[in-house]
Amino acid sequence: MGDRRACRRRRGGAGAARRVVAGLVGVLAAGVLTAGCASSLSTAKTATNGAREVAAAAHDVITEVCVSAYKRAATPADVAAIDARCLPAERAYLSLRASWAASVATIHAVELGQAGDVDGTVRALGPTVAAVGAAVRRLEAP
Amino acid sequence: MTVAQILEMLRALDRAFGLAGDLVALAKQNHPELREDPLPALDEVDDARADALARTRGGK
Repeated sequence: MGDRRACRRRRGGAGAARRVVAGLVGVLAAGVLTAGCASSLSTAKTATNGAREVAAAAHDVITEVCVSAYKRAATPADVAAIDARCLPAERAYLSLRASWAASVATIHAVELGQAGDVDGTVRALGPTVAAVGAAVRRLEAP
Repeated sequence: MTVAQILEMLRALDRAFGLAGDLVALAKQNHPELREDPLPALDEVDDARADALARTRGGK
């Protein structure tokens, strides 16, 4: 009973964070923490969809910020400075994209009756979502 | 019966009983549909970077 209440509290907190930090860190919390509360395919799908939402938002931010920055670059030093911010964000996005695809594949496998660690795969999304959130916040920082 | 077939049946029931999508919304809440449309690559960023590298090296 206490566990259930704790889960509800954590879900509520994640919703607030989602609004505050452009959905990035909030979806991480919702996905990973709710996966710990209930081991079901529905929860895994919700968390995987949340990770996809984060990735799609990150894609748009990275494209918007980095494309315009590279277009303004006038010297090799400018490009190097932009690389220092954009390349880590790009790597984080690609890593999340791969983790999301792995999670989708695992869910499919389990739905087809094959063995697969859905909870483990969904939890593995956590660090990649966090990395994308941090990279995007660094990109948006002045 | 697949999830897609079940959702199609619920859509038909929604229409038949004038429920304005309530049944489908309820079903999706309990059984979320996995979004599988692929996430795009960052081609635009890669192209912009390649262009910036070529441009700034040429300007030296």
